[in-house]
Order: sequence, then C-alpha cells, then structure tokens
Amino acid sequence: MKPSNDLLSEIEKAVLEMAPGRIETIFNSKKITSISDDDLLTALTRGLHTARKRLGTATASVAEFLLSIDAMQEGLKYLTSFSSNDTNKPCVVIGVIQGDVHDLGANIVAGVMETMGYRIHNLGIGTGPDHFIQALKDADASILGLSSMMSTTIEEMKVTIERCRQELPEVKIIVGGAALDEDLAKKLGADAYSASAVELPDTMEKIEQLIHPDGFRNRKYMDYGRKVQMIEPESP
Amino acid sequence: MKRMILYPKLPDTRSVEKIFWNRLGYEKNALIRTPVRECAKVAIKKALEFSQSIAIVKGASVIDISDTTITARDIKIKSKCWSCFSTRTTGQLRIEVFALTLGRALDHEISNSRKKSLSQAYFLYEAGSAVIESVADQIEAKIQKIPELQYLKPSRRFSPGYCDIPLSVQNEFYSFLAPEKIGIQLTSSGAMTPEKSITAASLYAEGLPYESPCPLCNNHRCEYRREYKNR
Repeated sequence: MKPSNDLLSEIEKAVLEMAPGRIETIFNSKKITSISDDDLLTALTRGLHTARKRLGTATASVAEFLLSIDAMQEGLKYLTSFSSNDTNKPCVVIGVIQGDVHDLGANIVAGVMETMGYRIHNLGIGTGPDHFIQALKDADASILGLSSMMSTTIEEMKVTIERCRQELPEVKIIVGGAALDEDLAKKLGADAYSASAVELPDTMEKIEQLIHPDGFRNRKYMDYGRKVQMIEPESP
Repeated sequence: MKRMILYPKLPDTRSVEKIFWNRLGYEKNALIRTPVRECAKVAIKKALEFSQSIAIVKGASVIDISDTTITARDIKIKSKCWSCFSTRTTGQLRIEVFALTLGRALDHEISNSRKKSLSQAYFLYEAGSAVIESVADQIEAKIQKIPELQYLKPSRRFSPGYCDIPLSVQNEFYSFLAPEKIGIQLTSSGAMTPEKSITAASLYAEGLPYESPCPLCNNHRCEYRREYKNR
C-alpha cells in the first residue's frame, strides 16, 4: 500500500472514529502535500458515508454521527477547493417556519448538506415567507429547505411554499420535521420530503434530478456512496 | 388555589445523566464511545451551569367532564383520552398545572455552541432537555406535598402536543398559569420561549384506577404508550 493510501485510510478512520484532533494532525503533516484535494475529500466523505450507514442501521447514535460530521468539517477547513463561498456550488436556503422555535433538526440537515458540498444559507428560527423569498433571490439559490416540528405551523409552511411557487417557480423545495410525513409534504406542494439526515443524500439526489433532468452540475465534491464526480452537461 | 412560584434546585449530574443517555437512545449498560462520553460530560456540566430553574404552579377543582373535555375553574382541556380517564376516577377530582423554564441564558449558550460545532449544540440541547425533565419530576413531588393534595392520588403528567391533547391547549395552560411572570412567552403557534420550558398537568383524585389513560386507549402503536399499572 502506498504511503498516501495509508494516510487516506487514516483520514477515513478518523472521521468514523469522531477524532477531529487526529484529522488536524494529519492535515498539518508534511506528507499530506503530495495528495490531491479530491483524494482527501474522497477519504473524508467515505468516513462520513460509513458513519451515516451506521446511523441508518442503528449501530451508531445521532451523537456519534454528529461528531463524525465535526471531524469531517475539521478536514474541510484545509481543502482550498472546498470553500463555503464557492458560488459554483448549488445553494440551499434553509430555515424554520415562523412560529416554531425548534431549530436543532434544521441545523443538523444544514450541517449534513454542507458536508455534501452545498452552499448553505441558514436563516434559523422565526422565518416568514418574505424572508425566505428574499434570501432565495439574494443567494440565487436553487433549493429551499423548510423545517417544522409543530403541527400548528403547517399552515404557515403551506403559505411559504405557495409564495415560493408563485415568485420563484424554478426553486425546488424540500421539507422535513416531526410534524410532517411523505403524504403531507406532497399535499403541501413540496418536491421532496426527508425523514432524517440518513435519507438526506438520496433525497438531495432526487432534488438535483428535478433541477437538472439531463444531468448534474459539475461539482468538486463527491457524491455519497457513488464515489463519482458529477458532471454538468455542456450548454447547447 | 393561588399561583405558587417555585425556585427548584437543579438536579445533580448523576440524575441528569440517567435521563440524558436515555434521550440519546443509549440503553442501560450500553457501550458509550469515549468521544461521546467526553462531550456529554462537558455538555451536562454546562447545561447545569447555565440553567436557572423557576416554575409556576396552580390547581383547580374539576367541575365537569364531558366525552371530550375536562372543565375546571378557569381551564378546559380537550382530550377524549383524559376525559375518559377522568370518568373512571372516584371522589374529589382536581387538576394541577405547572409551567417550568430553565431561562434564557441556556438558550443563548446553545445558540453560541451552534456557531462552533453542531455536535456541541446537540449535546447541550439534549443535556438541557434532561435537566428540565429532572426538575419537572422534582416539581411533581413538591405538588404532591401540598396539604390539600396529600390524600389524593396523582396521575402521570401530560402536556399539550402529546397523547390526544392538541397543541392549541397550550393557550389554555398559558391563560390559566400566566407564566409570563416567570419569563415564559408563547408564540402564535403554541411554542414557548425560552426553548427549555415546559407546561404539564396532572389529575389528582381520591380513587384513581390507572396512572394514565393508556389502558383505556386502543392505540397500541402509540410511541408514548405506558405499560399498564393497576393502582
């Protein structure tokens, strides 16, 4: 095995073992300079992918998964090609529907999306329809993520979705939260529903297929599980 | 009965830990990996440091029970399950309601943690939930010691948004308790701020066949279903 392969395995293992300190040490070592950013990103992503699979099969807790995300994010800081200001990345505006104060789930989803390579604008709690629409326009975002933990804010979510459909019909909408399920999400007019962070990569793939039915946008990050780089078709 | 304001003591670390691990899905004697254990230790310590518990309690005699509603002086609770449960009680029947908060400092600290790390915020959030649950247990114990309740048996506590009690009942609790006096605000949708705040009620009766309506309920798939316990 090549020394670089050893190092990449170490990175993968450090993410899985929730060790941001080890990630920091590896990324600060001289040996790392010979490895490409793409390979480093692949190693980080593999670690997180395994952590997500463990969460999905209940062999790991949410707490362990989040610590793995922290470890991955520690590594991402060192990757110059993985800048959170990179405007080539698909942008997601995410927030909690006005009236609800529970933002933990939305923050977890935002964190997972960030590690998947999305540019995130997290508006937090108390976000009304006007605020969502303005943020989508300002960020030139293609995806809107709405969260609600309470049944009493569903009507407000419906209003937000309708406003978005009217003003920004090209934006795709993903919803989640304890107050929702697949059926309700459809009734509200959302494009997709994600029950948890485990399902999120699959849900985001569906969303991206809706945005680019003929292919995906070119992006520097790896797709979970598939280990392939997505290429945007050239404009005719 | 007048409103009573309580300043309950914060629980010790061990009491919080028990609830905390349960909330995180770890069963008793489950293997907890070192990074998780270390983060939990820090979060529980911080949650206790930033919590300032204060509660408001008020009770009333139940004056009517219909198929869908329990009516006491100044409060009505819509719930088929709890109404059915109430009809099975005997003798004097009272309802005791409380609101409890850990204050805004903990909310701010959770919010600050989010800026640093998602996991830190998550651990602190769950530690806060464990603290408030533990303090709520303590308040229940204090209510049971109120002289006029000492000869009555308490039901388990219930809250809006659980069982078949709609979240809109939160408005009833709010009007009844006036918890703004202890700093709790209610949003238009029934959410409370500070976030680590809860409201709950218990029924007190001379004869109480069960602790909750679960044995009378046909929803066997309910995630909150409690095991049958004959009183």
